[in-house]
Amino acid sequence: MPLPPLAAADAIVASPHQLDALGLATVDVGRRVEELAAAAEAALHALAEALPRSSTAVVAPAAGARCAELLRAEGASLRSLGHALSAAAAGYRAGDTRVAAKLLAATA
Amino acid sequence: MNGSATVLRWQADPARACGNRLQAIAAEAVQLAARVVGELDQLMTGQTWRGPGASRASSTVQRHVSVVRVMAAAVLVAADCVLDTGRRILPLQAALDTALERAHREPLLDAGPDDHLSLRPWAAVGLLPVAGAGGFELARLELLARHLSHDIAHALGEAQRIDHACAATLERLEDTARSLVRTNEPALLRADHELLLGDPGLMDWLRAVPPPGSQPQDVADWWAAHLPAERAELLELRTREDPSLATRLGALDGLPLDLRDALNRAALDRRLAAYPREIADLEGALSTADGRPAALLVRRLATAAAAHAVDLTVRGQLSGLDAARDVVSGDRLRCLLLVDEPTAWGDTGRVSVSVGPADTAAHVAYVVPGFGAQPGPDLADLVTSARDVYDQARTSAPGTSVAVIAWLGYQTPGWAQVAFDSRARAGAALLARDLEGLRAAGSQSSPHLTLIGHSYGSTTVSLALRDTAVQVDDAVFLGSPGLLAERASDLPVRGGHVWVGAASGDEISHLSRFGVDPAARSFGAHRFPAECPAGTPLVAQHTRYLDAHTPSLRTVAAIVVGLDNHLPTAPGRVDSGLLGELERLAAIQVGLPIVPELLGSTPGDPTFGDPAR
Repeated sequence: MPLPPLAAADAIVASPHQLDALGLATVDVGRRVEELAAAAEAALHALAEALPRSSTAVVAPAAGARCAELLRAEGASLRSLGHALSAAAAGYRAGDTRVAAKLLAATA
Repeated sequence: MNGSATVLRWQADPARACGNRLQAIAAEAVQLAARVVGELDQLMTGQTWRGPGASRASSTVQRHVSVVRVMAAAVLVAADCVLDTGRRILPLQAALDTALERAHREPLLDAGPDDHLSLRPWAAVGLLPVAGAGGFELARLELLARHLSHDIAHALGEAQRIDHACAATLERLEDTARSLVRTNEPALLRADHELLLGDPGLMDWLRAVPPPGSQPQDVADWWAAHLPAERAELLELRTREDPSLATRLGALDGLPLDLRDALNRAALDRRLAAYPREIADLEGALSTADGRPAALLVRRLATAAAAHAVDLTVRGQLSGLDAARDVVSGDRLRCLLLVDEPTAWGDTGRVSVSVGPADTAAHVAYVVPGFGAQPGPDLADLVTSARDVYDQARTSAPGTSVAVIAWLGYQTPGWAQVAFDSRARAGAALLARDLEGLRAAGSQSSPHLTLIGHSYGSTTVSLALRDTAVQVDDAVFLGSPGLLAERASDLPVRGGHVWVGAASGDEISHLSRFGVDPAARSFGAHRFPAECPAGTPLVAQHTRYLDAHTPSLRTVAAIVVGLDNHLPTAPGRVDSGLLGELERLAAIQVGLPIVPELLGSTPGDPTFGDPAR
């Protein structure tokens, strides 16, 4: 995907610390979403054990695995996105707009 | 293994625990998504970050948030179904147990592998020799077998139904997860938005406005879980469809204060525009009614007229404050209408107005009035007091931001209730909820909080501190008729930050009606001078603590902005209050010796001759 021109267009960052806060929050949330993925998988495994020889027991582990897979992927994406945002914030703070390219690459 | 044996092995508690776990996971996922959206909102709405990078990052964040939210919705639906399954297992097992146990008590009945009960093959042969009774017994057993088989089949059918429903829901969860991986962005956002439009579970929760009296943190979480577009939809579309929604939202502790202000003002203007018509309609109806309908109409008319009067007062006060200027900067004064419920408690009304920006101020104070204070007749005086405290606080500390809230947020006592603390207890709970609302709305990080209780309001404040989770930095008690706390240190306020103003001639402050006089030395508060000029009538000495240009106002304002290092001190009282005084007089009447302890102090004691007495 072609990237738009960077320096001028993206220079309006009046508050890099807010951008950093967004980055940190996104990393934190991503990590927690990954943990929730594991928790959901474990809960659905426990459900299968609680209802032996039921249709639910047949379906639950697969649903848990799929659900966890998606949430894990989202969590990981959020985490890397958050790191990119924080890196961009650091760049803006230092007046280095090249990191904006890094940001765009990460968020595309 | 047959069906009943399988169902009897199912474990209800672990299944329910799984449902609860999934519910908690979904709720947390929604909150996590909301947290990111909140950070993003701050960044984007303030226009502090613009440009292609900002747009790209914003839409990417929104996309991930949408995935998490849609997934959370699916997990929540599954959680509800799992919980429902868990709840139904035990009754089903009990029904099965009962039927099977009853069958086991009949040796002639046999349970087949399909759980169907029938007579054992030799039963008929065995019963026939029993003369006369054999035929009846055979018929009874056949009937019993039929009934028990039906009960067992019914329970197993129900078990199969809930099992299949649960499995189907889990399959949908799996499908949702699978489809989200390949869903393109517009479709994803549409799915996220469509969930708002009526699907059960999470989206019902999002759409359902929390009921009045909800926990402020629950309200704040509910609001935070909305994306900006959803908030706009809620505020514009739905409040247009249902005008009372604005009033309900405006009263919700936990929503952002500026939003509540806007909603309350809009609702106020709408009501003011509607009153003339409403009152004319009621008067018209009254002219043709008689008997009981007429009495009801008169009551409604009185309520409408009282609410109209309250709203007019509120409108007048807001207009005055909106036109006012900050005493230091000269900028327009910002005030917020935090609560406006003109029909609360019948004709009384409930109002709370912030003089200054309570949502962003570094120092926030609540002025809690006492006996008989009502929005209609007394809001103007209370707002004036709040304004005086605000002006003085700003003058004392020009570099800091302040808000002083005129809080007519509880039903103050009239003559019939003033001798009792029930209104103070109810008021304490409401005060605690409003304070929690301020915290949960969370637009500023922990402002310095001060509660200022006057007269009966001081009792209300003391109960809020003693009986609720309220946490404040300073508590000021003015003209108190007694606190429900033995010592200042019993209140959850930092040492040395319980303050008392009590004029010598303020007889109410000597009553100790509800407990300890906080001006007493033994109470351990910091008593500051609050005397009135010579010649001030006794009644007025109870009401002038916050009057402009008084020393007590300057002290209170200094406390509000945290300038409390070198505040003047008045000696604590050492008498026993009005009741103690009566005891002393009674002792004189019956000729008992008056011991110094009864007087509380002796000449030579530095506190002797307390200006109060």
